[in-house]
Amino acid sequence: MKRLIGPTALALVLVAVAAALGVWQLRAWQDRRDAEARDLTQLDPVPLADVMGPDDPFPGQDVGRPVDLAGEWLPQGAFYVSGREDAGRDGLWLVVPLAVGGPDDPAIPVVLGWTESQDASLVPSGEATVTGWLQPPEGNGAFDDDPDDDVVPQLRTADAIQRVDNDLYSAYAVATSPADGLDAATLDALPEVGRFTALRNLLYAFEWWFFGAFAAFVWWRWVRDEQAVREAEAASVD
Amino acid sequence: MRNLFLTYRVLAFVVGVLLLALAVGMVLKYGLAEGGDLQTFGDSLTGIVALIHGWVYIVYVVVAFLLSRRAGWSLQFLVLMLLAGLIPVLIFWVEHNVASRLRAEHAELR
Repeated sequence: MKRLIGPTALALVLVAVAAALGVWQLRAWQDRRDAEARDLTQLDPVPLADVMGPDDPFPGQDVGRPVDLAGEWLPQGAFYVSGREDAGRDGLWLVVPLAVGGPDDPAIPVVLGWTESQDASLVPSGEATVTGWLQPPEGNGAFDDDPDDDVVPQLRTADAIQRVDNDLYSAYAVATSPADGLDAATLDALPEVGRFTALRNLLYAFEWWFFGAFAAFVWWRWVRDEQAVREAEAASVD
Repeated sequence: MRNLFLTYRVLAFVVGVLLLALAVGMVLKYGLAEGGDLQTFGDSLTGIVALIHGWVYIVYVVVAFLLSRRAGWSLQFLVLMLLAGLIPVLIFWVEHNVASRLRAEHAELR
């Protein structure tokens, strides 16, 4: 019986680890699907300070929540994000940072709307109150082919911060109603969240459970073989 | 036995190539500055290859198990065969070992 203890303990550990990893992947799959299914965009707007502070990481549970922003535009920090569609037409998002509070306070980039081409006359200045859907900074790995112009391929904090002296929030906002002269920037224009990624977690969960079951199966075969060997030994002794 | 042997060799080759692709993808993904074309390529490559490798590896595990039982090999050698499917390059050497061992023990496979 003694020689069964080691391999049996090992098999138990392997099965437990595989089962736990499978559950972990299943949770990740469920969490991602929940996050995707939740639509906060129709809720009543709340002040930005209620959702996040200037130094906070992006609050993942508040993607799309409407927030009220009050402060001062930083027109010198305006830029455009390329590759945004509006009813099938390729165009740009106009983004202007808004210093939340006073002109020296931390700023949040605000997507004012969609435009077909660059137009400096659309950039606002002065004090303003805006309502916008809160979004995490983009980071899809797109490559900026010309770093010297005012057009970038995605809305990244690292790009935006070079254009203003203020600190930036780790988020941006999409204005719920577009500024004059602009079309609305819709959240539909955002790159889709990959269902494939969530599916991957589910497939990994099944893989882990398979490996756990396989470890248990090999252990069972091994015990049977051991038993057969001992019976054979006992028979030959007789 | 012959069919099982052939299946094992094909699977070992596929798993080996996938592992190499995965290793290259990892180097690109983590070795290069974030945001570059090659780095992005490495990022998507690892995602897809890791998924395919996982499922091919499951089949490999089953076939390796059947083969090692049929050949009457020890549990330790089976563990080596299974580990080889997880460590880049190792599988090519293990597959070679498995082939020569099988040929030595089973004259009809020569």
